[in-house]
Amino acid sequence: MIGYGNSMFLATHGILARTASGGGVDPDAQAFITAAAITDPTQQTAVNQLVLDLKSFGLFTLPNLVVYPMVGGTNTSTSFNLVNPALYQITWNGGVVSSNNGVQFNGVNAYGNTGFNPTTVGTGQNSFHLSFYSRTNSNGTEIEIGGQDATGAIGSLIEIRTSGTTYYRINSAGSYITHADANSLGFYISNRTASNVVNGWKNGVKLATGTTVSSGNFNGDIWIGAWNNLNGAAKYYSTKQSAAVTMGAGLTDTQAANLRTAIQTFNTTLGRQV
Amino acid sequence: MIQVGLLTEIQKDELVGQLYDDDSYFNPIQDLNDNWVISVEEMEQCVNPDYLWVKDLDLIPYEPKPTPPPFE
Repeated sequence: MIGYGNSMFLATHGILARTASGGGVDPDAQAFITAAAITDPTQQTAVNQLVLDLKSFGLFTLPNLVVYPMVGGTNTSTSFNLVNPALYQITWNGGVVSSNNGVQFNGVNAYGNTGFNPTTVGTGQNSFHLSFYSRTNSNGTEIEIGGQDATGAIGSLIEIRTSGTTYYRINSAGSYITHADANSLGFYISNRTASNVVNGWKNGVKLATGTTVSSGNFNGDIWIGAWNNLNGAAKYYSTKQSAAVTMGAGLTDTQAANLRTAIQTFNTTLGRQV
Repeated sequence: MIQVGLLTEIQKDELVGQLYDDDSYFNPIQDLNDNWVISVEEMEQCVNPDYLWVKDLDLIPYEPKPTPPPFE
């Protein structure tokens, strides 16, 4: 057995010729495919290419990188981290529905706890990003990913399109960078690369910049599909369908654009790009 | 109109911390009138034999608690 758990697939889809080493399926892709029990050949191919693309861009080794490809169509398969399936497996709560198009949040009580606590992980307050690929066009008060401490002094989020505006915040008090947003479709990144450098990206374009000073490192688990608001108040449950989520160290402009390219290629292979 | 399944207080206590499928937990919440409810997705996807009774819950319109905008 060389890869994917299906040698017939390898023989008919030319996987051996496409790998960077020429030695079979990328081992990191294989580890994810095995953990998530991905059996669909197109999904296997897409996962392998995503790993190869992230490696070719030098992103796979980004400090503390976590990638949720949201692939496989079940709440189990969509819970795994591509970079290391043994770390930060999502715990789903409430009405989460996984399909081949990703993970649908219900806007009532659905969210995923990544178990990724930036303080515990040691990300540092001045270098961090969150991303969320939205396949849903909506315009309500919803937060797609992030968390905030009990006092509101430290928080991170992406809030995609509330009343026509998208909001970004990384490791700061309640100050946001924003841009007008005609729809809530695509790949969004909330990013900090220095104590006073924050930016927000949509579909590979930097649309918001700011100098909000970081206030500390969020000490709680990052949630997907809602906001881990540690003061016990509103969670702002999302109604969106996600087709990928990432988090990790802050991204240079080139890295942010390349991350979008890799994720968009992945979703295009799966026929679920927006 | 979103609908949700209506729980008693006892039923809510039974569901907290329990799985409805292999990797997904029930998440009872309170609506505007302080009713405990779960989503229809949890009811439909439940395969845990201990909690199949959720499929028979009465459905009521979901009235969320008002939430202040987070951007103030």
